[in-house]
Amino acid sequence: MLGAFAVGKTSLVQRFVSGIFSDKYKTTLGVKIDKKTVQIEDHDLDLILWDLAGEDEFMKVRSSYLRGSSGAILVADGTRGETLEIAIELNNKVNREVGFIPFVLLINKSDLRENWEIDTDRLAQLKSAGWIIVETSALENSNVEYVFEQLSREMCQLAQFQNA
Amino acid sequence: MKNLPHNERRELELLRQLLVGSELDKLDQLSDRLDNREAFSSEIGDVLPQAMLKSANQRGHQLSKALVPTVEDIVRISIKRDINKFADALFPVIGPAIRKSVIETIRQMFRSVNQVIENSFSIQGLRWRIESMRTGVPFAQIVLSNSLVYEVEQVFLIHHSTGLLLTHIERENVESQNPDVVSSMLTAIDDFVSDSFENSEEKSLGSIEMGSISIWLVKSPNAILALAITGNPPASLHTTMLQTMEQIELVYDDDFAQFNGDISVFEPAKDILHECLQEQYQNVNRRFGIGFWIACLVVIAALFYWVGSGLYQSKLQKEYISLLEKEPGYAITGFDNDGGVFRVKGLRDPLARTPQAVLNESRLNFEAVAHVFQPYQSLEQTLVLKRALAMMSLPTNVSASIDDGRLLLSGYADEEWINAINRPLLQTTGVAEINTDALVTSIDLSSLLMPESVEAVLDIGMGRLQVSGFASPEWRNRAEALALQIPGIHFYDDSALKEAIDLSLFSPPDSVVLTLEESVLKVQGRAELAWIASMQKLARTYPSISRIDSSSLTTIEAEMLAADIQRLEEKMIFFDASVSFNFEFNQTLDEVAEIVSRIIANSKILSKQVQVVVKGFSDSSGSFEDNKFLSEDRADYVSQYLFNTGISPSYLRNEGLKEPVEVESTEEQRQFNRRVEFAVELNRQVSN
Repeated sequence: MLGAFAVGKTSLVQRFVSGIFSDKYKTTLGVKIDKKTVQIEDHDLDLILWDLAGEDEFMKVRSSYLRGSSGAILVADGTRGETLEIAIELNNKVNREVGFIPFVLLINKSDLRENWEIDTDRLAQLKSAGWIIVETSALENSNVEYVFEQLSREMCQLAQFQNA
Repeated sequence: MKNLPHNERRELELLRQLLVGSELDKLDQLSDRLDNREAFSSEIGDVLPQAMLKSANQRGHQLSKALVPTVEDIVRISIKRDINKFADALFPVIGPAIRKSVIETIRQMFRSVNQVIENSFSIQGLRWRIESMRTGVPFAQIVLSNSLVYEVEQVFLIHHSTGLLLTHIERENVESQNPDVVSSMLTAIDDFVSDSFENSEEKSLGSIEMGSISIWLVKSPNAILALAITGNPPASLHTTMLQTMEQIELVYDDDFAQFNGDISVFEPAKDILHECLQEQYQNVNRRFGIGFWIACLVVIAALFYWVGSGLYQSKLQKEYISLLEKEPGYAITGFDNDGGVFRVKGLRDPLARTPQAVLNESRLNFEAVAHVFQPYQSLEQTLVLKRALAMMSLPTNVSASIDDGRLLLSGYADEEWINAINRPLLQTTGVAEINTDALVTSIDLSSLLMPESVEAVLDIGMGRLQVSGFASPEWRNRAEALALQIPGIHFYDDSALKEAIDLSLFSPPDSVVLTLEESVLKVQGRAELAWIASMQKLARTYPSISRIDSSSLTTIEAEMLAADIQRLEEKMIFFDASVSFNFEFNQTLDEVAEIVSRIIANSKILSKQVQVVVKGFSDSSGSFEDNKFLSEDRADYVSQYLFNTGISPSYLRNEGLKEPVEVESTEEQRQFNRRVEFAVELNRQVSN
């Protein structure tokens, strides 16, 4: 899970793993690790979720935490336009550290859509470049499962391709 | 042959060549092969494996037995020369063998620890139990963690660069969190530490301490070996970890190089990791548990019981013997204990009580006693008496006692029976003398001084005197003792006797006549209420008075009241034309006041409510209104006067004219109408 601070990474993981949502904000220090098993085409896939502390101008994501990852979830906050750029920058960082791995970009907080100030042109541009972009809400449990399943599928396909 | 001449030797040689020439060549060849050690040994080498195989098949263990010393020697020499070769060869066997044995031992130990702990009860045990209840951790685990020096609970083998868990083992009794998550977290922490403290010499995490758990980490280029340990592990454990790590690097070198996320290839590494699953226990100071002390106590108690019950039994036996010795008609000659049975020997008079009856008085168990008694005739006085009585057929009204051989007869008997006593025969029973002085042939009741109201019934045969009727308590108290002193009277019954009542105790006034008929107290005449009350109270204390008949009794107070009322109602107070004071009236009024006071007092005594109505009248002259007021004023005047003499107004009620007066024809009639008269209202009983 990568993204600027307070975009909702931990809430998304919590919603996905435990099925609960808390509106109390807790900043993540370093990294928080969770595990969830998903079923992809009759196979159990264990996801080890590394929920990394949000990046801001004082705190950069540690590149060592990226090592060994099989997929990335980039999270941006729909109500804060600048978080999209941070997500894009983090994706570049992943590419530098571990090469290409499957990823999805989440525009979180779709429950606050009336306050969105995200650059839709930029999104369209990314989509045309092949990015998978999903609007989510941890509060309303909207698209959360779908995102993780989608990424799991991508990762499986890549692994099958590499092994073949 | 050597002694033969040369030519003969040659001929013989020739002959031998002719006869067995070819065989000789073969013999030479054979001897050459035997002499040539190198060739011979290579030949034996050819056949030796086959020969050994055959020998093993045909002769069973003979060859093995023969080889044992040699093989032992070989092993010893080999080990002496180079121990490593042997160690290398045995390595694959020893590891699993030791592990198996260790696991089995630990399992057994767990079982026994559980058992011992569950059953033991000590202060420390209690403390651990409380800790177990408080934390919800199983009791045995608490005990282990307290008696453990250290224990490796889990071993993680983690891929270095990805943080993926390659393999993981844990102790049987350990409940682990999700090892994948733990592994990732460890990697993250390690990365964090490495990144954060780049200046430190050792750039990686060596251990993490958390309460009683510590995590030790050892790294190789490809993997991280992490141990979760409780307690205080020794430094040697670190060496073990390094060795394990090295071995894994060696074995899985290629697998690390080709690692693509498939962790199944590392499954066999668990065997290697088991080396790290070490533990060490404290020698728990095994003091004697409470169970031991209880056992001691039980043994001591049993011992005490055994000795004590023996002593107790012999005490009971002695008690019983002394009881028998005191019992008339028994002579004890000896006793012994024989095979759990207490045997008592001696003499017993057939008239004596049975041994069982005596035994019932002691606390000895009847079944445990055997009696061996010979019959004899005892001269104990009670038995002599018994024997004599059996012979005499005593009348019921005669009682007998014995004193030093003298038989004393008392009571009532007819002369015929007294004369029929067979004295010589009685002497055979042990009676030396018979005294019949206390026997009477007639019964004289005169000493009782019976009052006339008492009736006596005497049953001579039974010696029973029954009295009935009325008597004073004094006589009654005396009579029983006197009656029982009369010879021939043995039973006295005064239950039908009633108490005679002295009526003067009621101190009746002269106007009263008191009589007691059957159980009814009849009161006739006149009496004051106070006396009647005290009479009733006293009568209630006599059980023989069942009822009081006071139908012919009048109370003085009631009579007085009736007389006073009559007198008052006859009084009239006359006025002149107005309401004027007159000495003549006054005198009458004083009389009225006296009567009213008495009426009030007596009605109070009789618990009656009384009201005196003061009725005012007037003559016909003038209007009715005026006359009404005038009559009321006259009544008021009289009431006021009575009030002034001390009569409470609550007893008085005024009434004036209610209707016009008929016109009078004479002055006398007019004067008569100017009056006040009285009426008395005697109401319901006042409730107390």
